[in-house]
Amino acid sequence: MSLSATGVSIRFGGLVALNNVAVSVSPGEIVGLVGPNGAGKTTLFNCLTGVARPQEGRVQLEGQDISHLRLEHRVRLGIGRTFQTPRLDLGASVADAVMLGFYPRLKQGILSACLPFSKARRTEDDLSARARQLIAEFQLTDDPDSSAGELSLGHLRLLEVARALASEPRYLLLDEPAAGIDDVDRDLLAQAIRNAAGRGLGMLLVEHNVGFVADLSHRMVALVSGEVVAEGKPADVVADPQVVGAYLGVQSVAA
Amino acid sequence: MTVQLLEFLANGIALGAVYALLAVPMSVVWVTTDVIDVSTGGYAVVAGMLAAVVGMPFGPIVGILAALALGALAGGVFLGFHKLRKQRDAMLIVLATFALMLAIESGVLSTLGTDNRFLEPLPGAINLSGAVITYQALFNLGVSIVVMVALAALLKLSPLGLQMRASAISDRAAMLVGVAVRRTQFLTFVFCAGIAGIAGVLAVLAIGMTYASTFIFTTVAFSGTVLLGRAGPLPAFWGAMLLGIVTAVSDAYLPNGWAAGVPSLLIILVLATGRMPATAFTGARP
Amino acid sequence: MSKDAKLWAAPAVVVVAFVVVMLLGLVRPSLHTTMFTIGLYALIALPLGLIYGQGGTISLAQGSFAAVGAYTSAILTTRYGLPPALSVIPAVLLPALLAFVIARPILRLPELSLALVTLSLGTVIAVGLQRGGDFTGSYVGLSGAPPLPLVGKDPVAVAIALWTVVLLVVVMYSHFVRSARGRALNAIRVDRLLAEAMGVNVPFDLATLFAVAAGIAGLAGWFYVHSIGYIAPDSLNVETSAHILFMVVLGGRRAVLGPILGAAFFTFANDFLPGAETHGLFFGTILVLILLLSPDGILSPQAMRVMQKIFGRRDRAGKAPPAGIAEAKEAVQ
Repeated sequence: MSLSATGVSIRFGGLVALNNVAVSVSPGEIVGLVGPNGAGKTTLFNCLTGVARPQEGRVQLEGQDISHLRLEHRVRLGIGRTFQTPRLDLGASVADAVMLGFYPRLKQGILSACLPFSKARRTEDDLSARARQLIAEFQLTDDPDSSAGELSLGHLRLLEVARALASEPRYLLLDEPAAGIDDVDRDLLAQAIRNAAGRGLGMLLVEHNVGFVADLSHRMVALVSGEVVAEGKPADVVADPQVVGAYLGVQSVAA
Repeated sequence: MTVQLLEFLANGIALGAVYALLAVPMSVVWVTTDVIDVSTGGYAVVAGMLAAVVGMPFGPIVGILAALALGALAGGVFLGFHKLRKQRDAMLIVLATFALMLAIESGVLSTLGTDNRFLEPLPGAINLSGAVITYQALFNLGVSIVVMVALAALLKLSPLGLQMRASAISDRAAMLVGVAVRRTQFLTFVFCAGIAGIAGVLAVLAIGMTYASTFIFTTVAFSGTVLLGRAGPLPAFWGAMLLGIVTAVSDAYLPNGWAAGVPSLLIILVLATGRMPATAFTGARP
Repeated sequence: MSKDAKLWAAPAVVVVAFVVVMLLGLVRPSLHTTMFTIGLYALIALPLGLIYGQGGTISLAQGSFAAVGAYTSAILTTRYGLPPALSVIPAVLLPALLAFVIARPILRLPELSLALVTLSLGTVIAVGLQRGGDFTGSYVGLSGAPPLPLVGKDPVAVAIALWTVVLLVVVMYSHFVRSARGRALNAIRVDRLLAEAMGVNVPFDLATLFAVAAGIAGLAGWFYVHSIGYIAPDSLNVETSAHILFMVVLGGRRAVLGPILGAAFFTFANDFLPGAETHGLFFGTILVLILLLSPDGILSPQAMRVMQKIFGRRDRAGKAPPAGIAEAKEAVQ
């Protein structure tokens, strides 16, 4: 029972971005993925979510091979992700932006969406209420109907997470959710992640803030130059000489 | 049979020569500004129509000057967008050039009516082992080659050409190193309109035109631009040549009038089969 | 329940405007035919508002899809004796099917390519109709199409029938934009990757909506040919598609009522402008101005702001733009 990538290798032209990488997330587990810039963390995310297709290796969800599935299909199977730079309609209201997240679970037909007095209409009020709840939980704004463009970057990142959680995924991939947000919001984020894990969500978290990740994760994986160099308990991974060397720019001893 | 084919080929090349003078300026503007100047056909028609109305010897000059003026108008609109709109949305500017084309077409229609206009072509023809090729066709080909060489010289050797190439790679980077990007882009609009104007004059000599040729010329220009699947003046030139040959040959072998659909059909085929890289038309630049 | 009120605002406006104009038409009968024309344009333009305004997908083929619908019905009724009440089905389905089949390869193209491909598609269809020989009536077209079922040729009855359909479309459009599906379509416009990350099957959804737009255009074509009685290649063509795009852009591409406003403006302007030849000049100039000053058209927040600037409303209480990410992004660009 997990989301896993095994033996994944991907090349872009002559550049080997990932080399025989394996990573897995179990339900309720928080896995931290660390590594210097260019290590391949986002590429690994892209492979797990279907945005990139590795030349070798497989991605499996609960034992089922999903390597050939496109992003939106994987999302509907219960994999969610956030992006490094927030992607959203800045002109829409905060409520609408969050409500977008409910889409994968709804299975709403086009016809139902057009017709008055249909199921689509009845769910709208429910969705609106749930969105406002999420907005309150993440303390995004006092006015959910205000424009999303008025939010600060930190709050936009939280909105991305809120939106991703709205789809009630089984596994959530968070791409640097804590970058550029202040302490208060970071604590909120950490709490939300723990809550989600408590509900059974498996999460894979990419972060540069090693301290933040180490505190939060049950397990950590370190990626350097496209290869997994360390894996295990946060304390161990953080202390691993290769990991330290990669972050500090010291040449690693092993060839 | 081969004599006929040779004749169609020769006429196709002559046609392609005129098409090239439509496709190449469109592609130059596109590469330099990210905008497809939909009014390219309009410049050609205005130049051709005026040339026919004023007659020789001043007609072509008047026509090309008018085309240059319209190019300046388009360039002005382009600059207006960059001043007024904060977002870089090339699509809006393209829509604006589309509106400009509609205006030009209407202007020609209101002032000159629906009549077919033409100028007396060069008389005579040569006979190449049975294939008859008119002097006008050869003249068109010659003019086209001269213009292409001049353009190449401009792009490769002149300061303006250098600025254009810098703007084409990245307008922001060019601005940072002191290139007068907006002025360069404006001038690009102007002289590309002039080249299209030359095409119009050649067309009114060789085949004549009406106000409706506006849209047809734009379609031809775009078809030549994308046909070889790569952006730039050289692919546009060869694409236009190929288009000319294909059109001439299909005009001969297809049922009457179907050849009119060839440029559009090719656009659909080339774009729908994904021959142009997806990033080519996004206006998204490094 | 102000939420529900918002849903029915647009349809209410349509009903009121229709009733008012039709009543005025009692004094000035030409208004009835004008309403018919506006209704036809509205029917073709509303779906474009949906796929372009909400979905970011330009189509310059709507006019040609209407022509396909009109010709299909004309051929079936004049050549094969089918009654219009039955020929309406293929008139709607054929353009829809054509659009759906064509959609897959072209809808993944970026905006500009797509616009030009749909434009070229329109041209190819027009050429085909012109060279169709006896089957399509060539340059002359087909005449003798039977009148509409039930309402016949009575201008008032025809207008009522047409606008009932327009009203239905407006109701469905209004509901659609306030649904999860509507938000999904907007996501496609903003960022395709975002839409996919939200589980939206972008190619299929766009193709479906593109087909629906074509089908509704086909329906408009059916109305056209059976009220006017004939169809020619120039009746509904690429130029029509350009006009439709103009209507959507001018009226407001994001607003439900936008296309209708644009259709009304276009039709009334046509009546008041001297000579058909000058129309392009007039509309072309207006289009450039709209694109420059308020690309989202008349019924848009931006236009409201421009109006406020022009009419000098100094009251900016509570409207001061905060330093949010939107401002930062605009500054960088």
